[in-house]
Amino acid sequence: MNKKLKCILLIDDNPHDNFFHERAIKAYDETEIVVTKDSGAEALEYLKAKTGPHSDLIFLDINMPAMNGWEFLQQYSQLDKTVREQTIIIMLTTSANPSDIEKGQKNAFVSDYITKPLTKEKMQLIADKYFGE
Amino acid sequence: MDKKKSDELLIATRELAFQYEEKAKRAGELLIANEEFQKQGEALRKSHELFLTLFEYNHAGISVSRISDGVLLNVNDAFVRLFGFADKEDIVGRASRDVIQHLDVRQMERAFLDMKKNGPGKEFEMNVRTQGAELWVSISLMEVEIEDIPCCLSAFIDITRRKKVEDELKATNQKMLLQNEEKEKRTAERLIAIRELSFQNAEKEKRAEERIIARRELTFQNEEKEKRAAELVIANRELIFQNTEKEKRAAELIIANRELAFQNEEKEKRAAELIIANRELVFQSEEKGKRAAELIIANRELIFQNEEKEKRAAELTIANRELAFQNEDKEKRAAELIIANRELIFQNEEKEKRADELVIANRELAFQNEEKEKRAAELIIANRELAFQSEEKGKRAAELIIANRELAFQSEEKGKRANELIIANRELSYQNEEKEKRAHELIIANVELEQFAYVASHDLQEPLRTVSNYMKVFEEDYLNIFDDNARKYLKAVNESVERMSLLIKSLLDFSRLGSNKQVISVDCGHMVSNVIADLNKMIKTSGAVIEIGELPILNVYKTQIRQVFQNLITNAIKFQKEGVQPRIQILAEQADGAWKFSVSDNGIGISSDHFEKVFDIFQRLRTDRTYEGNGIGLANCKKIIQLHQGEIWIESVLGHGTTFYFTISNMTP
Repeated sequence: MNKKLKCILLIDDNPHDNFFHERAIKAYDETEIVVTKDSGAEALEYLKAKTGPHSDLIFLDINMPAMNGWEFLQQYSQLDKTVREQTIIIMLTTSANPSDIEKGQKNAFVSDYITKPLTKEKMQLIADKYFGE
Repeated sequence: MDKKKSDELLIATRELAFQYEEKAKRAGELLIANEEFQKQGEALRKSHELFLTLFEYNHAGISVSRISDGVLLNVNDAFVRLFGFADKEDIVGRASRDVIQHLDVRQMERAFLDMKKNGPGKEFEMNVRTQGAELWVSISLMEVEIEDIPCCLSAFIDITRRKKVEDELKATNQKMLLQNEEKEKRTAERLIAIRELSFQNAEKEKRAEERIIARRELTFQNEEKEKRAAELVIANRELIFQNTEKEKRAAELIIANRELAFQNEEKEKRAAELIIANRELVFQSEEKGKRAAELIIANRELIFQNEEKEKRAAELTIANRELAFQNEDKEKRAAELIIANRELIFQNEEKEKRADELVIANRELAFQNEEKEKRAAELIIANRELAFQSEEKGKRAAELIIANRELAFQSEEKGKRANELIIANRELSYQNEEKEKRAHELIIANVELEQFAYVASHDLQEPLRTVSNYMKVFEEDYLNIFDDNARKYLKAVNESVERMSLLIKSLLDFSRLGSNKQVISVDCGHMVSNVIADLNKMIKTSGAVIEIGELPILNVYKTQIRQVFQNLITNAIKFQKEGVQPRIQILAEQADGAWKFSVSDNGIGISSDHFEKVFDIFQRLRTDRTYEGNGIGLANCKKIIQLHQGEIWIESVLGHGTTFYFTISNMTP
């Protein structure tokens, strides 16, 4: 039961990516619950409702229909402070576009920027960097 | 609003803090008083009633507990209320830790020890729970002995409200701090955006200025052309004026010619008259000659008559002599005869005089004739002269007419050319506008194309990644139940996916080749040495020998030119005959104001059919897997060399090595 992370929230419109990334997170086996939301709006609803456990880590895709990753972050900043506290946000995207990377670095809520796919090894690095002892 | 609230909260907090301090002081005073009482047992007893009153009616909760087991011996009403009980009896006799939930016994013990060491009066705070609610209390302790039992007198003051206010204040402060940070960040972002905008505006202004200058240039050229056209029009007018002048002069010449012709006619008439007069004179001369001849004949006649008369005179003399002898009458007659002779002599003299005068008159006439003939000759010469001059004038008039026609023709031509120039100017300005439009369209098209290539290759990557991911899932979950064939197929799919991914990545790189470039001075020799150092592993494995000639320092797009060298050297090593040590030579020479580089190898060579094809994107000549490559390296090289206004080409004999040549100009940094 004593795993490093209580809950990870995956936000991506691509169900295949969500499936694979969830697999990678489970393969690393240091997370109790993985919640996937396939749009920014759904993720915001979920966070507002506070029905689930607190999300220690959010993986956020950039290219999504209706509300993209950047727009999600704008809405996220309006959320209650208690929801945002103690949460790490990492952009997880296909885009290696330098302008997107720069945008990520400038955003106060974004801790890191990694390219898809998420693997067990990448999870290991993230956990060591942000959730080490 | 926040500020106001926080100010109000601050004031309220200070107020509360002050009240609690006051209360604590009073409680402390009470305890001190109590100690005083204990020291003076007698006095205590005397004041026992007062103590009880203070104990019972104090607004602070006070308890007396046994130190040995913490059992509460007594509490006041305030204590009962504070911890949510109904009656004293529910509490007395129970342990403190049972009555006060979450009571930190260890902290109490520490405080007790501290009190024993440093004396009473030091307060401490604790978070506890009553029957119903969470509670913050301020506690102060004192050791007392009641009926020889060591007891602890504890005073509890409720500070929950103060704590809450403090927490809220802290939270507000944190919120404000966070908001301030956000605002600063946004301000910084806005500043960057404003700088960006002002930079873009400056750029736009520069371009607008450039356009204005170009337009002025065009306007200036048009004005110049119009000026020239105007000058042409003036020159035409001048020509027309000159033509008119010439025509006038020609008309005058014609009149002058007519005048001359008239004068000539007059002269000819006079000459004709002169000829007639001459003829008259000649006739008169002839007449005079005739008369002179007649006079000469008459003279001869006279001379003959004189001789006859002398003969007769002689005969008379003889006769006289004969007659001398004869008569006086005869003498008279002789005298008369003498007189007659004298008369005759006089007449002869007169005749001779007249003959002389005639000779003189003849000479005069002959002189006059000569004069007249001279004048006639002169007139003839003058006439010829005039006729010649007339002819000359006629010729000149004809020439003038031709010249006039020529001029009129030239004027027309000039007019035509001026019109053509005006049309050509209009055409040019129209073409200039078209060119500007096309240049603008090209820029937009390029940006769109780059964007398209980027988006296309990005979107292609996405489904491919999904395939790759599911292949991994397959391998992880089912590899052990696959047979060898299935594993082989899986491997083939994986390799293809990997290759496709590499191709898309290359396409992405190719589409972004032009962006993010900067011209700087580069020592090519130094750069090639660095490339070789980077390829160290590959060079060692292949055992390649690389010779570098003297390379220049040039202004180029550094990253891009480095890629060219890296691609060509990698190719030279890669496309090698098996079992042959690769020998590579990199040289440069100056040619036609540019630099010509060459990278030669002793590898497998390329057929001349493929000299052009190798530079096409994704073009691989080798279908087998002996020579790995993604088919984009040389396409990149070509694009980069074109960026440097140069050319790239191949010389090769199949089986005998290849030389890649490329030219680059020194760019303006």
